[in-house]
Amino acid sequence: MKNFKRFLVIGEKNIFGMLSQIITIAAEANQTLTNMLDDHKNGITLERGLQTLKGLENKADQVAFRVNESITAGAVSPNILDNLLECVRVADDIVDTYFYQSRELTRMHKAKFPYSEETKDAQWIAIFKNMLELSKQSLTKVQQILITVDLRQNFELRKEIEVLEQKGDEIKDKSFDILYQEAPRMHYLQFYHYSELLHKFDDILDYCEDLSDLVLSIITSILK
Amino acid sequence: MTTVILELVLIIFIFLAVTLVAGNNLSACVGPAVGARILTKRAGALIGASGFTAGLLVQGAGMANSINRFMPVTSIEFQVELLAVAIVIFLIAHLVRLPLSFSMSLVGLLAGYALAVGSITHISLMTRTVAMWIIAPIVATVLSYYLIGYINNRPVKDIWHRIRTYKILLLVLAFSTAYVSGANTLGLIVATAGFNWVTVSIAVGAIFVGAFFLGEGTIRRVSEEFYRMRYSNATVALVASSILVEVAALLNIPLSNTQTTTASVFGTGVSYKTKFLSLRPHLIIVLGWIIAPVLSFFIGYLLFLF
Repeated sequence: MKNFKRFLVIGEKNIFGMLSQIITIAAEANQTLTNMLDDHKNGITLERGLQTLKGLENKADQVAFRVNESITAGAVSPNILDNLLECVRVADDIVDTYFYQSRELTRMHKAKFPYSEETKDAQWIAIFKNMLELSKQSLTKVQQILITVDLRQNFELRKEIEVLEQKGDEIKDKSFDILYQEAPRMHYLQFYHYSELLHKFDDILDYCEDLSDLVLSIITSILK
Repeated sequence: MTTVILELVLIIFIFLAVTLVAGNNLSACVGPAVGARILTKRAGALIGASGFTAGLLVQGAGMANSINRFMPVTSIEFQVELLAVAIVIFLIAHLVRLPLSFSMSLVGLLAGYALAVGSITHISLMTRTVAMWIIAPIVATVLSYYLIGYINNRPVKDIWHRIRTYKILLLVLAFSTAYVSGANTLGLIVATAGFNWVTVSIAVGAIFVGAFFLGEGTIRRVSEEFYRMRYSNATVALVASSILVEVAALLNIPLSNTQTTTASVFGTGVSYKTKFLSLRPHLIIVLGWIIAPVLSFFIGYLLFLF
């Protein structure tokens, strides 16, 4: 009976369940980074946020290791092994990126580098928070894709994630226009700091889109 | 004394033939389930061997009718020669990596012998057998082509429910494909030497030896290469193959399950809009389907003359 129950377990479903744990960690990381941006001039808040994100990154690594083990040893179709491993890598990269962002924010704060005018600084923070809000929505939809049983709903969610990614792209492009306009009045390190943050926030949205594509490709591959 | 030795040799040849065929056919039966990692190689070998045995015991005796019609009067010497030649052809083909069907080869030998004997009553069975060998792969291809199209066009209400269904079906089909193979091909081999408790017992032992000692390596290769396909394709290929071989077994016509499985795999492959199919392996397999019976037919004919 125990063996029969084990046979009925769907490996792919279990892997998606474990992947969704990494996405939950990513959503937590998103909230932590948002809190850091809210209080970006407070060194204690930034340090506390950095430590929290470091913990989350470790946790995500451990889950990713367990998922990889399950993929290679479990009842999973060999056709989708590579795509599943890629899913884990992308999901883990999302959490890694949040940690990278927190390091960048903290490092810049510690450098005591004179930011440009206060209003401009607030403007950048608003842009980043806007992108984090898009990431939050995107992560929620990725989470839904991983747990839903309806293929049609999966395709709809994938479209919604794509729309969010495009919105993120627009924000990034407009922000780069602003950044290049302000560049003559900035130190190169400041320019690099904003540029790097913009790219990485956009990367998170890209990863969400990649992940939803991979999940859909896996589902289609095992169904049809 | 000579008769006793010949009987012993015959039993050894049955054991060898069944071992080779069970080991060779096991991968076609349980390969998809092992390839999809639903079953371990060992569990696959056990299910395959159980299916072969059940098919041989329940329906295998039916093949004795075909053998009796090909060889109404026979001698133990000829039975030994027949199995020896079939085994040698099978092994040579295996060495040159040409996929030949043992049952096709055996039937070719029998038909050549029957023609040399000059018996006209065998023509109808020969015609039906050849017709089945031509029609079965075509039906398997067409059936798989439409079945996979039908399944893929059905809306998916619950992704995991469908995958669970595929997995259960693949497990059931692993057994049923082995069952029909046991009823048809293995039944034919045992019937060649006479269907009695001694030959059947030897065959059952040979099935397990073949499945566990020869089959596992083939399963690994076949499940990783040939059967590295989707759940739906594997399910449809095995359904089509099982149905056709069972129909052939019910009609007492020898039909190789590798023939129907290969045709079904081809049918599922061509049903997709986007396809990158290599025709070369399929053509080599089809060539084997022609070479095996024709070559064996001439050898069977010459066996009677000399």
